[in-house]
Amino acid sequence: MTELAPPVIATLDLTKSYGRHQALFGVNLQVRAGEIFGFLGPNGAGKSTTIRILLDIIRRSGGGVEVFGLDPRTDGVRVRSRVGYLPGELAMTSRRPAREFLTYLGHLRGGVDPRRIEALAHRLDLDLSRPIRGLSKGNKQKVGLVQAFMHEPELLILDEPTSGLDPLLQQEFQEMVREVRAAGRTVFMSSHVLSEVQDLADRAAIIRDGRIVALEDMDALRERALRRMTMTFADSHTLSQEEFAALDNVREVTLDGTAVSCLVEGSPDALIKLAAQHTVLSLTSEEPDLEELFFTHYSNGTTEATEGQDQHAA
Amino acid sequence: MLRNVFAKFLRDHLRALLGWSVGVVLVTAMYSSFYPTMTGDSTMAALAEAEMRGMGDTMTQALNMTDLTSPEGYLNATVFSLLVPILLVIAAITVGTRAIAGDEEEGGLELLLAHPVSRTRLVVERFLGLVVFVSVLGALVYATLLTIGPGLDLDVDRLNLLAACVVVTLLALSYGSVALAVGAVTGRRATALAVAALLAVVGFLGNTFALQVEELEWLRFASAFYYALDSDPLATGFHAGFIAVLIAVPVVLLSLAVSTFTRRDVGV
Repeated sequence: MTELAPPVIATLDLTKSYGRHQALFGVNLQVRAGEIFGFLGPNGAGKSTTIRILLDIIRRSGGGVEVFGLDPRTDGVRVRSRVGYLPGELAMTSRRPAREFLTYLGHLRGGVDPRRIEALAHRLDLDLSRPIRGLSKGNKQKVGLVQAFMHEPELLILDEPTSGLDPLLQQEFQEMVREVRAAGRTVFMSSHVLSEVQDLADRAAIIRDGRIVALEDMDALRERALRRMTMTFADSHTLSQEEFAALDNVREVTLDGTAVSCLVEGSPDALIKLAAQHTVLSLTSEEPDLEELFFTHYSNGTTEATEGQDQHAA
Repeated sequence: MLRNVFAKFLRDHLRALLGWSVGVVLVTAMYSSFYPTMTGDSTMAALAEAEMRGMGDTMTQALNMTDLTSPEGYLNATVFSLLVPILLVIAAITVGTRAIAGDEEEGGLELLLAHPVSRTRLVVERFLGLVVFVSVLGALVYATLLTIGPGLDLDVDRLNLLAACVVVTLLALSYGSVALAVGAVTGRRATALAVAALLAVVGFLGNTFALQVEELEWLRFASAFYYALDSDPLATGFHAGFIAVLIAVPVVLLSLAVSTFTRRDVGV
């Protein structure tokens, strides 16, 4: 990753207002060529707004935007000819079969090899002969993925790509995204769930209330990721709250009968090894919630976020 | 097949087009086939006469029913002043509303506009789709009357008949363009539909009943119905001036649609 390569996506103090409501308050982003970039944030934080500005579906109120070094506002058609986009909400009401719809979208891009459409559909287990209108949410999402990937764009912009996909297909999707990166192309994907992005992305930005609050390598984010773990044991005599609380990266330990619940930061390895000294009946691990992640981010007083911002603005 | 927005728009509206076509052909054929009864059967003619007397001069004049016995008068009164314009206008407004605002509210425009398609191209191609849609309906009215007319003694000059069909088509296109343009400006389906329908109703009434009220006579100049029907194209053929107005209206509305739609946010 060279810092010298021009960014594929660059926004500078990007703002957007809808009338009196301000959605973005100076968003700064730089997405490098060939990386998978996660764009994380709770619903309503401004992810889709930012994405739509990149594609010139909506227009910025202030600041700068460049995609491939072009301004989408004036060079929208050129920008979009090099982008594949999966909308966050796919509205497809046509009674026509999926194959016809995809072929049509391909024509708008100057034609796409039908074999490529078939191959992607086969991969995602999508029946192209069925009318789009009757498809389930998951199948519509597959149609959306096929149209985003089929012309092998230089940049993929995916808004909540795995919503509605079952776990098996999520794996297939991750594989497809990795192949895109392996081919040197770029992926910008948004999500409100960390887990969707954390295995895949090289870097991620977290947006909240229209501002980028963190920007960092996924490894660092994973390090800090909080996980709530609850374990139930065979008997309570040997358990003590202290032994769990004594672990470095374990906090908020509660002991309720035979159940121990706690927050783990980073790797759960030490906790698991400690728990294994007892007879474990069950173990649940809850995804670190984005909000929780923010919370620790601020309360721990980490400087990474501001560093990320500074480095970014530079 | 489906190489562009225009073709896709028509393909998506093929079902609707078939439905409207059947309706327009049936209504045209049905009403014209009453003609022999009106002239041949004295009872019917007398009945119609009595009916017209009962309605009074103003009413019959307003509805263009002054002469039901000549082919032109009969077609004017039945097919061209009332049912066919209304059917075509409704069809055009429906399609015009869907062209931008309807698709935008359903969310379909977002995906389309993420493709290398400019906003101008989108509006123009969908407008052309609307033009073809109403033209097919107008052409079917012409074809229907041309086919069954002679058998019914409804002999009208072909060129005049063509003129009547062209103006009715342009009339419908005007109101369809209102719906498309309002949709392009506001992005709201309900607004597009309401404004176009309101203008059509006011235009229709303004050119018929308002004729009887002197203070309201100006209303007809804001009505596409006036420019379409007042010159009586079925009897007198094409009138360049009126046709020019009926072409200028959609063109102006199209440029308004393009210039505003290219500047605003879509889907918000």
